Amino acid sequence: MYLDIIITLIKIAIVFGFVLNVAAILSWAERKQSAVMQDRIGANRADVLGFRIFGLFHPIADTIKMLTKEDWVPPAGDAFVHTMAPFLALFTALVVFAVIPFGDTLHIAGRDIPLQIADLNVGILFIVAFGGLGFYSVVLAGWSSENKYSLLGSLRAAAQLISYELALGLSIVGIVMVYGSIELDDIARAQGQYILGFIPYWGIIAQPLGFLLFFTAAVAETKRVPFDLPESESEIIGYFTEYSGMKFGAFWMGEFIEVVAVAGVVTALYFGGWQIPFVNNQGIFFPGLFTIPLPHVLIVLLQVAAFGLKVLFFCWFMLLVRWTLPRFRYDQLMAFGWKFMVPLALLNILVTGLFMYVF
Amino acid sequence: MENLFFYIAAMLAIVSASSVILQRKVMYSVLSLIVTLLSVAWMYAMLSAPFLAVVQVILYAGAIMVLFLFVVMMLKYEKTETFRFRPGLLWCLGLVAAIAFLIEIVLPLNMTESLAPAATALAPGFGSIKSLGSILYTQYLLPIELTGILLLVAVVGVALLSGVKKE
Amino acid sequence: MEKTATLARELHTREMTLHMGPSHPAMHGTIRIFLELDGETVVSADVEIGYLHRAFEKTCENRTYHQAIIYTDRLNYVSPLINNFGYAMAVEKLFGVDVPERCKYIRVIMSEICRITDHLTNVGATAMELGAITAFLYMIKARETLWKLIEEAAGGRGVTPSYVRIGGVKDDLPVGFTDMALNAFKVVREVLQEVHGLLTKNRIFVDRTKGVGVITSEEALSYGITGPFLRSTGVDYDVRKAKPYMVYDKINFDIPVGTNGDNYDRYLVRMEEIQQSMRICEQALSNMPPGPVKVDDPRITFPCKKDVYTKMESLINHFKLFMDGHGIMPPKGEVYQAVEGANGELGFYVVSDGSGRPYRLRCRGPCFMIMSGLSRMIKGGMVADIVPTFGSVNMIGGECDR
Repeated sequence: MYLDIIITLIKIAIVFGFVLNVAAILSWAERKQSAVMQDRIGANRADVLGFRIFGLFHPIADTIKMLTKEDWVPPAGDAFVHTMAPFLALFTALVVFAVIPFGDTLHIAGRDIPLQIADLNVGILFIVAFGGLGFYSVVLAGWSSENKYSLLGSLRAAAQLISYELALGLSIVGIVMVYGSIELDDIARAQGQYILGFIPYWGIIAQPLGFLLFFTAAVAETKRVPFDLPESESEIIGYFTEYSGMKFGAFWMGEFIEVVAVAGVVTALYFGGWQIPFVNNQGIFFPGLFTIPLPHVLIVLLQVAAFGLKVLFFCWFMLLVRWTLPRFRYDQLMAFGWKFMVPLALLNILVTGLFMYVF
Repeated sequence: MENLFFYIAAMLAIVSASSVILQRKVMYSVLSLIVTLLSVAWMYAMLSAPFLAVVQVILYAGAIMVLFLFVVMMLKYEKTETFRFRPGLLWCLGLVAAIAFLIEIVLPLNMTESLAPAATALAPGFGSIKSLGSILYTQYLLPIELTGILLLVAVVGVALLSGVKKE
Repeated sequence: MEKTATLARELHTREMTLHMGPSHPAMHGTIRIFLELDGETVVSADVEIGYLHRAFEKTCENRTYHQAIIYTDRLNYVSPLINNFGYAMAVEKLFGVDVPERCKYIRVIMSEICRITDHLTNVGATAMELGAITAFLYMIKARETLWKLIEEAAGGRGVTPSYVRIGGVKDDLPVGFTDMALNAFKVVREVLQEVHGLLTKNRIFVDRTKGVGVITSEEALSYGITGPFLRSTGVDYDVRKAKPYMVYDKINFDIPVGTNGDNYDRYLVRMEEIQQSMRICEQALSNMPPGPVKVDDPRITFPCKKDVYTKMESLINHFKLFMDGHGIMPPKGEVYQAVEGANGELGFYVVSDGSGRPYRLRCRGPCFMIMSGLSRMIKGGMVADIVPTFGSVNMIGGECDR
């Protein structure tokens, strides 16, 4: 009983430690990566005792800066809601990690430890549900600021999040049909199969269109370019116009955590989760040829590392997209969501169903 | 342990539900309602109905309350009518109805022996999506389809009503 | 019944008034737009300019003809040399002098370099305001190489070079300028290629700009709009072709014109004008004759410093040119001289009463005319469309408000 609780706490510590650190480093990576893409040097000024380590101290410097800044609440606004909104942003972004499996079941000292904080049997739906609640942080932030720009931003955010949640939900249906489960753990495990004996049966191979739709909708849910209309700093400045200090920092962190969350979910659903191609519970193997046995703990560690690497890859990819594309306009975004994404997602379900019926 | 969680959820639901009608700011009422819905979802989750809990969150907290919030956001809430205690005929009738409702809830509770959950063990897979889906699409197929048609009609109606007005 | 009426009165929808600017990131701190919004649609827009008014014209009346040059730098501060040359040409016209051939070529080259920097800035900034920051920084990188060129020649960088002197330019081009320029153009061409790849066929960018901020050629003409803005509507008016000055008549170049008069066409026109400007520069660099760069006229041209320190006549000449009440004193009269600025026809109207200071100096800043048409272009669009439309105006506060 107590051991279970301790193990769960350790898992929470590992996952949140990973997520929060990656999110902090992403704030550095975003600056550094954009600098590399744009022939600049990028953040490199913060130093501790003369050491700069490529500007990696910048996240720390930023945090100190934001913590020590004045925390200002608009006098005409609603102080309670204004304070609550950033917490909601962080909460909804973080809670998603509760159901993402980051490794195969670990057998240690006679115990089976699933490497997933909470093995809910509603898996994906939990992500959709709590990801959708992120809407409230944005809308409440805009409303409580008593600022017209903020309000415009939160209106845009509300419309955008609701519209793309639909496409997101529908694109997941395909993957649920293919693997026959909505539990992320099962889906990750099912992706260890092989087509024709050697092609890993990952979500992206089983559901290429579904992957594109899901990824697009998920990026839209993170509210980053090209879907950064709620923020669009050159048009309406965004729903957090009236935020300062660490409250603004919470939104900022929330955004990066969402990036990690999306990367995690995409990995779990479409990129084999913790699976490494040609590595199974026994060790490295090549179908029909040979098997190199490896100790169980090493395999699990490798898988956890593989999951982390895949997540990092998707984080990198989202930063790449963010620094390449311009921004949509409100009506174009809606048209894209409703007239393009949703019909395609429905078509994807239909085609998937047909395939499953035929084969 | 489970009882403790249940009581927390129940208290949260009751407090937030009464807060819905007692708050003076409309926005706070809406937020309280969201908390109520979430705590009900919590109770569903504890009653081996995780699917229902998640659907509660997705539909009520994630979609319906969004519409409420939208409307409230657009209103200037200083001008909305605040709560006033003014006994009248309607108020008396409301009180009678409330008491009747309370009795209706409390009486059956008293008749049962204890508040503890039924001792019968749940069948494996109870409340899972698979079992729910198979029941819905076999035993209750007709109601499901009819509801679907009703919703479709509503969707078409909304599209018509909002589309025609454009000049 | 009464209650419903009250409710209806309280619940009726009304437009939201929004003040966009001057402290708004896309308004550069230099304009304010009063918007009436219905949702995200702009019902009415009232553009208020004047936040960068510095009384340029009045100030010039109290400065000698030479002192006014530094104020012209700050008109269109993204392409200052074109303003420099336009002003100098107006004063030279008053005198009725003709600058040496080499000077004209140098002026053409420097004008075109400035035009490129201006267009690069404008296209890049528009892209940035649409969220494509990478394209912006690519263009800034290219602009940097061009600013280096200006720095080599003029001493000052992009904003305040003050390269011109009445009757010539400050100095001849430095040694090796041709090679530097050709290398810089290579960078610009690469960047243009990259930006074409990033934007021109980018579906999001095309959707954001095509059919947005449309103005017809008739309307544009009636507002007095010139430059790339007018050319995007299909009118091929360009001062360089219509009324050739300097040596533009000896150089081959094309005037790109658009068809729709929308933001996308303006973007394409500007991108093509950058190419044409480089073409002009390359021709001018290869055809440039040797010779002096200042007119040999003691009424106007400063004697060189060496002579001032060693020769009596030069010292007296210098003294007279700088002494209050003497100075450069053009004959009585009035002239109008227009050059093709980066945003359109940049005109200087100078009235001389024969004294050392202009009696009246009027500048026709092309931005001003475009800004008067802005509210018409953004009306009926969406809030988000204001940004690319305003970006394509290339509103330069210094030039618009003066």
